[in-house]
Amino acid sequence: MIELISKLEKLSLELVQKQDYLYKVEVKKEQLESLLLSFLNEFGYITLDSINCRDDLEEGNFVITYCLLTPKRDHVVMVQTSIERENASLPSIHTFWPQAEIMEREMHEMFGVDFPGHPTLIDFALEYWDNIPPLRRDFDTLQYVNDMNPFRGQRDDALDAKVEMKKKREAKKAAKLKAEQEAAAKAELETQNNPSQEVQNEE
Amino acid sequence: MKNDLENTIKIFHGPQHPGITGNMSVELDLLGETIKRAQTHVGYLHRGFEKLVERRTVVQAFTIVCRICVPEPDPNEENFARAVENLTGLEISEKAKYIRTMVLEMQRLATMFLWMGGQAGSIGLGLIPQWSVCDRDYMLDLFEELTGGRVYHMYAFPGGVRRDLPEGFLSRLSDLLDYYEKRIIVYNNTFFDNIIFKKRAIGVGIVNADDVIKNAYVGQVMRGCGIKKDVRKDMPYLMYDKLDFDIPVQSDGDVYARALVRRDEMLQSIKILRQIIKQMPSEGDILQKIPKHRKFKLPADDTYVQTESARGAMSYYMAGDGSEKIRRMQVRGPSLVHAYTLLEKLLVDSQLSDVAMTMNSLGICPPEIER
Repeated sequence: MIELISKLEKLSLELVQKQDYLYKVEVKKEQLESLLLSFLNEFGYITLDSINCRDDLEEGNFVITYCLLTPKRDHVVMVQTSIERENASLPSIHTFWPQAEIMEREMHEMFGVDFPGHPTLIDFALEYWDNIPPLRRDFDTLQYVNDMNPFRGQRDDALDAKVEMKKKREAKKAAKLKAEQEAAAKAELETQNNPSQEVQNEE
Repeated sequence: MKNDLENTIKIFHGPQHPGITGNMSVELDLLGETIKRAQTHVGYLHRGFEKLVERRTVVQAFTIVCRICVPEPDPNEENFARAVENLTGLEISEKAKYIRTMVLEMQRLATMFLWMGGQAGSIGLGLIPQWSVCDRDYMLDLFEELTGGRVYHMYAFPGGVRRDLPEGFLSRLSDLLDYYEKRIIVYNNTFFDNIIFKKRAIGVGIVNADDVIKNAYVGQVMRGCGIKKDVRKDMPYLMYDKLDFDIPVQSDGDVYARALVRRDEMLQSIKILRQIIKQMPSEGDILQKIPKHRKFKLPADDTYVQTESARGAMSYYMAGDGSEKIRRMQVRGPSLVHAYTLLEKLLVDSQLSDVAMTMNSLGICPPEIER
C-alpha cells in the first residue's frame, strides 16, 4: 500500500483511506485511461469489480467510479472521475477487462454516457427506448408513467367509490342513532313499568 | 460444404422455461444439438430498484432492497445497512453483529437447498427438488419466527437489527442444524454421488482459472477452480474474523466441482452457526436508536461495501448528498458478469440439454442483473 501511495504521489494524486478495506483516488478524465492501465499492468490491480455511475445534476456532472481489486482481494480501490453531463463520453476499457463491455453497455443505456470504440452499444434491459436515459435524475418517473399508461376509463354502470362510501357511512350513522334512540326509549319504558326497582336501588 | 453458422437454427431458451433460473432468456444458435453461439437477453423483470431508491429516505428504501434477489434477500439488506452505517458512522453492538451474522448464514443454507433443487431438477432428478425445497422450508419457519417474514425479512436495519431473538430460538436452530447434518449425508448419497449427476456434470462448463481473476468471477465459480478467496476471510465484516471456518475449494472448474464446493460450504455454514449459538451474548442492545429517523440525513459522501452471498461477492455502491434521500445506490451482484461474460462463453460448443444445468451452477439470479 505504501508503494502504491508513493507511485500515485509521483503522478500528483492522493490515495485516501475511507474505510478499513476501502481506498479512493480522484483523477481527471484525461488521466483516467492511462492510470487504469497503470493499475492493471504496474500496480497489480488486475480485477475490475464494477463501474458505478452517479448523476450530480446540480453540478452538471456524472461521477464515474471504477472499483479495482488485487488477486489477494483484501481491499478495494475506487478510481473516481467526473465528466460533464452534456455529451458525456468516456474511453471504453473493454479491451483491458472483458466484463467492462456489459457494464459500459448498461451505463450507456441508463445514463447516456457514450463509449467510442465499444463494439456492442445495443439495448440492455430496455427495448426501443426513445426517452432520455432513465437513471438520469431529470427523468421524471411519475410523469413518464402518467404519459405512457393513461388511466383506463370505467364501465358505464360503475359506481363512484367516494359517493358509495359516503352513503355507507351515513347509513351506518343513522342505524347507530336509531339503535341508541330505541335503547333509550326501552329504558324509559322499563322505569315507568316498575318504579319500585328504582326506589330499591336508591335505598 | 456450407459454413456451419449458415446451417444453424435459432431458438430462445426462456424467458418462460422450467430450466431457466428466472425471467431471462438465452438466444441459441444450434447446429444439431450443439450450441454455436449464445446471447443473453434481459429486460423481462426490470423494476427499476435503483431509481425507486433515489426517491426515498433510508427507512423507506430499506424495505425495497431485499426484493432485489428473491432466493437470497439478506445479503442485500446487509449491504444496504452496512453502507448506511459506513456513511453515517453508526456503530452497532456486538449482539446485533452476531445476530446479523447468524441471519446471513441461515440464508446461505436456505439458498443452497433451493439451488440443490434447481440443479437436480435441471438434469431430470425429480426427487431431490421435492426434498430440498421441503428442507428449506424448515429454515423459512425459523425466519418467520425471528423476523415475521418467510422470504423477505426486512431485518437488518441500519444501526442493528429490528427485533430481538425469541425465547428458545437458538435451541430450535440447533435442533434444525442436527437435522440438516443428517440430511446432507442423505443428499450426498442420492445426489452428489449419483452416477447420473456425475456423468452429466463432470467435464461440462469448465472455467479457466486464469480468466477468473481478471474477469471478476466470484463465488463457487472462483473456488471451483482452486482459488481460495472469500470476502468473509479477505475483508472480514460483522463477526467473521472471530469465527473459525474453512473455505472449501475444488480444482476441476466444472459443474460438478462447483456442486461439491456448495456441499462443503453448507457444512461450513453449519459449523459457523454452531459457534454463533455458543458465543451469542445474552444481553446487549440490538438496535441503536436513530434520532428522528424519518429525517435521517446521509452525508455528501460515497462508499463501497461487499458481502459474500451464497453465490459470490455482492457489492453496493452508495452515495448521499446531505439530504434525506439517497443520491445513488448501485448493485453489483455476481449474476451480471456470470450471465453475460461467462455464460455466453461457456455455452459455445456445449449441448442444448446442458444449458439449464450450466446456468444453475453459475448461480444466476436475473432480478439482480437488471435491478
